[in-house]
Formats: sequence, C-alpha cells, structure tokens
Amino acid sequence: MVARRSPFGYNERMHELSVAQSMMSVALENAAANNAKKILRIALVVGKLSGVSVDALRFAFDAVKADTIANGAALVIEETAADARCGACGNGFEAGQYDFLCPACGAPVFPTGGNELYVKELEIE
Amino acid sequence: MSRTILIEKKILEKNDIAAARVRQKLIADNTVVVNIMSGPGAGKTTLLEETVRRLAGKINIGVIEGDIATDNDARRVENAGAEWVVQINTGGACHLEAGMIERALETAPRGMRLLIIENVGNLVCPGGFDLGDDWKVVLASVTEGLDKPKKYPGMYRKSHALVVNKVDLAPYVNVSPDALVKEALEVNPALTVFLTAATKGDGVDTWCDWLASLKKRPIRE
Repeated sequence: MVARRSPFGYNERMHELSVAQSMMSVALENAAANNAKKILRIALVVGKLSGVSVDALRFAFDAVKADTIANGAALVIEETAADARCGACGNGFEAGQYDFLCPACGAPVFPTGGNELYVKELEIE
Repeated sequence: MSRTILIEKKILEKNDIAAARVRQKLIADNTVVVNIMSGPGAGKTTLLEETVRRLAGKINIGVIEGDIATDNDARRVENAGAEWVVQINTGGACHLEAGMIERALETAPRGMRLLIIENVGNLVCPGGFDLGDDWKVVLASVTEGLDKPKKYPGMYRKSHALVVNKVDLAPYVNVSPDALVKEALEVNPALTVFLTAATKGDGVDTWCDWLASLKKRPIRE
C-alpha cells in the first residue's frame, strides 16, 4: 500500500536553511539555559568539506534570526581547512575542495579535517 | 555586561540523534538499511523497480521514497512488488532527514530484511544527513558525464558503493563507464562498483546479490 505523506512540517527550502534553523535552536537553547536576554554573537566552525556554503548560510541566518533574541547577533564563521596526510608517501598538504589526490605521489587521500560543523561559542547578555 | 559561553555543539546533532533512534528501532529486526543517492534522472527508481522485481519473492523488502513532490515513484515500486512502500514528500526540501525516516517508520511492518531509502535526487545535500542507514550507495549514469565524482566529491566519499547506470547508452554520449569508474575511485578508492543498464536489466542480478548479502552494521557507542 502506498501511504502518501505530506510535508511533515519541515519548511526548509534548501539545506543551508535547515542548517541555519538547527544552529539557531542550538544557540537559543544554550542562551536560555544561561538566562540570556540577548545573543550578541554566534561563533561557528564550518569545515571546507562540510558541504555548507558560507554565503548561503549567512543569507539563511538573516531569515531565521528575526523575532528571536538573536535578532541583532553577529555571525562569526571560522572556516577549517581540509588537512590531509598521504598514507602512501607521508606528504602533508591541504586538500582542495574537489581534489583528493596527493600532489607528491598521486595516491588517493582522505583528509582528516574539513568536515566540522558546530557552534563553538555564544556571546550573550 | 556581555559574557561568552563555550558550546562546541554539533549543528546537526538533532538529526544525528534521530538517526540513532532509527538504528535502535531497526536493529531489533536486523533490518539492513541502504540509502541510495544520485542526481535527478540517473535511474534510481528504475533500478529499484528491477531490484524489487528480483528480490521481493525472496526477501522481505521495504522502500521509502523521497521526493519533493508526487508519489509517482512509490506507485512504480509498489507495482514492482514491494511489500511496504512509503512516499515522503519533502515539500521543497532538497534531502531527506532522519526525523522524516523515523516518522515514516511508524507504519512499517516488523521483520523487514532490507529497507531501501531512495533519497531526493540531488548530488549535494543528501550526503550531509545521516538517516540511520547502514550502507550508502551513489548512483551515477554515464549520461551525466565524466566529471561528477570530482565536482560532487562529498557524496562519493561518504558512499560505500557506486552503481554506474545506463551503460547501454555509453556509445551515444561518448562516456566510457570504465573512465567514470576511474574518476570515482580517485575520489574514493574504497567504493564497491556495479555496472548496470537498469531499463534492460543488465547487471542488476549482481547488484541484487550484493544487496542480499549485506549485513547490518553494529551500533557504535
């Protein structure tokens, strides 16, 4: 039997909006737990391989912060690089977003960083 | 007077928690969960129809279809003989999330051996959301061209297997399946590779044998 399902109450329209909503709920929960009246700054760490576009995230942030205590908050984003070390030849390098071959020997490499996506700190009052 | 509080909290933690609940629910029946991802039009649903036709009489298969709109895919898979099919319409969202799977599973029967999730056709966002799956599969059709693995590496790197589909069309689009496989293996050398022409059924038996042989992954603490 085919069960038809309507939108589940999910109203995100792109994945950065969904990420921005999750980020905002993390920020608001932690602000409330610390009796904050206002959120002044939200600091994020976003890895270059996390699949999140920083520009799109900023755009989405402006949409989700309205009518919250983060309305006037600054969004500070620290981007982390895709650090890699080649298992074949030991060469250490920063992987490009689209290129995962060791520049020294050509072996495929899995970066050890760059997938980060978390709220690092909040400034509140 | 302002103050700074350290949080260090993953933004998608809620999704990860929902994914853990999906795993917890399905471990009781030892249901293997396979998440199939690709761009639109690569042939996910056609492959799934052929898969269900071959496996439905042998093992108990459930299917969750994810699309922005319509239940066309669920009807196709149901007609192919799937025991249980649910269509999720995301209403615009470009990917499935674990919470959607959790809700879809509310109506699931017990005893499914295999649950196949067909994600929303999109080579970017679906790779970022854990659905409680055991195995991720990326489908690439030769008609998409050779450059997709390196343009969309995130999805290829997160996947365990690659199905190269529409290999029967390779001569017409001047893309060699072997070259496409080579590109993909440069992004992720650990991919298990299958070549199929799903509309003709070519290569589908080998793919089905692999699916039927998959084991559930243990839940990580």
